[in-house]
Amino acid sequence: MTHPQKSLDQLVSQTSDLPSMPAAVLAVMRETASATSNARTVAMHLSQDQALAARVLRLANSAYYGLSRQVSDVNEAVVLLGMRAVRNLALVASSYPWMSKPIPGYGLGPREMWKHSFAVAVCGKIVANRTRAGDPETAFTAGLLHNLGKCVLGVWLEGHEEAIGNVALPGVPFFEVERIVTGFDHSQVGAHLADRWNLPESLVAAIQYHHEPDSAAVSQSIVDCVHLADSIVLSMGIGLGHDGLSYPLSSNALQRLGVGHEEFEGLIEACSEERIHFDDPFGESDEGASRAA
Amino acid sequence: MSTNNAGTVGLGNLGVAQQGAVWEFPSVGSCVAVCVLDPEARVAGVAHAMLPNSRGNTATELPAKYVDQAIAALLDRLIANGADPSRMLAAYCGCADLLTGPQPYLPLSIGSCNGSAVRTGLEHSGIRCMGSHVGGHHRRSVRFDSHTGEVRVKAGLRPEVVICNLLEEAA
Repeated sequence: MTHPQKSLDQLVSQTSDLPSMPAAVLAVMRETASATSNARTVAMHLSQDQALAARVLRLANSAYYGLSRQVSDVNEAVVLLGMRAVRNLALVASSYPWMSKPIPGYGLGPREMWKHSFAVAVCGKIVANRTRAGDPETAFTAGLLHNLGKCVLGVWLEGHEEAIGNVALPGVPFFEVERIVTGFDHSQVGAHLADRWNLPESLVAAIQYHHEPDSAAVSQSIVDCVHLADSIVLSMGIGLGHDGLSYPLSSNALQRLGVGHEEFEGLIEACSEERIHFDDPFGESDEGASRAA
Repeated sequence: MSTNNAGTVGLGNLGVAQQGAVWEFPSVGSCVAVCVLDPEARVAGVAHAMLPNSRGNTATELPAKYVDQAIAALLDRLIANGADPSRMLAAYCGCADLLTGPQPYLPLSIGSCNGSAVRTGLEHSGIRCMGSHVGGHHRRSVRFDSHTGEVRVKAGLRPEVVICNLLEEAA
């Protein structure tokens, strides 16, 4: 309706203020996804970006993570927390600046995208732990990045509220609304950007199929974990925009994870008791680490 | 929706005020925002519940996590502040659901279950319900001004509406 002639590559390339990821973080993500990954290499990559390393240490030493002692360098952080946990700190540190911006195209105010993404990351980890469906740290990473495409597509939805309102009829999944208005949905756009960044296949799959997990040909379990975590966080009302809860819940994904009605409620309970809010990771105080919504 | 001098009601939390207050629920999904007022005593309260039934689970720091416990706790605190259950009027909003569609497995409609639990809870407590704005798949922002009695809701892209006035309903 709005930009029907653009290819996906054109749409991403022509987006102003495109999210970016430091080279060191991308290198760490590829390293930790490899079967031969090692902690020294992870620490070496992070140490090459001093600003990033400082932010990672600030996070590791924050009240949210509550370590028993202060960590003074990334080598120590990798030993103490593990390389996948440190990878996630690096990801949190580098994605917060663009995820915390408002996205008017989706009706999201400042930090609403961040709150939703961080909550899905934590809930994804809980789902993976409880269902033993996949690596919990990978579920965290995938959860944090699942809505990457909204940070791009939001630019193209801005100012089209009337068109959105006209096609967002009851029962219509919002990804269909996005396709009608822009030609693409946020999952396609996010996966395209993740692929450009050369992120691991499992993350690209989770970004692409988090609303349609039955279509995933690879990394099904991580896709399912993110799908369920996203559904839980949407139900809790965290970071809802114009799209609200207009996304399908896949019964097949629930079945694959062994999650019935009681388990679903149990997961919402578990997520509500977890510290899923980390609203201001780099604020002067650590008030953002409180649970209060 | 103005945010001046309004208190935000977080997930699983409740609040009660004697001298009038304004509360906001900025983003309600499947959860339910419950607003109660005793117009004579001018005592009001709110709760932001997440799940329909505690099934006896009391091991939570959140006083309004479950609808059944939320209504009981809210009622207790309203009475402790001078309200009388026979005069209390209520409204509730939220209870949206994800799209479940015609699927063979489980319909996990937490929102609908929350709506039923609120209706049952208010009825059992003898509290009259004067308005509701529930269902669908929208994000709702809810604002309850206990000075004026107005309960305002903005759902998705639709304009904000006043769903009821708990002071006028009492008149």
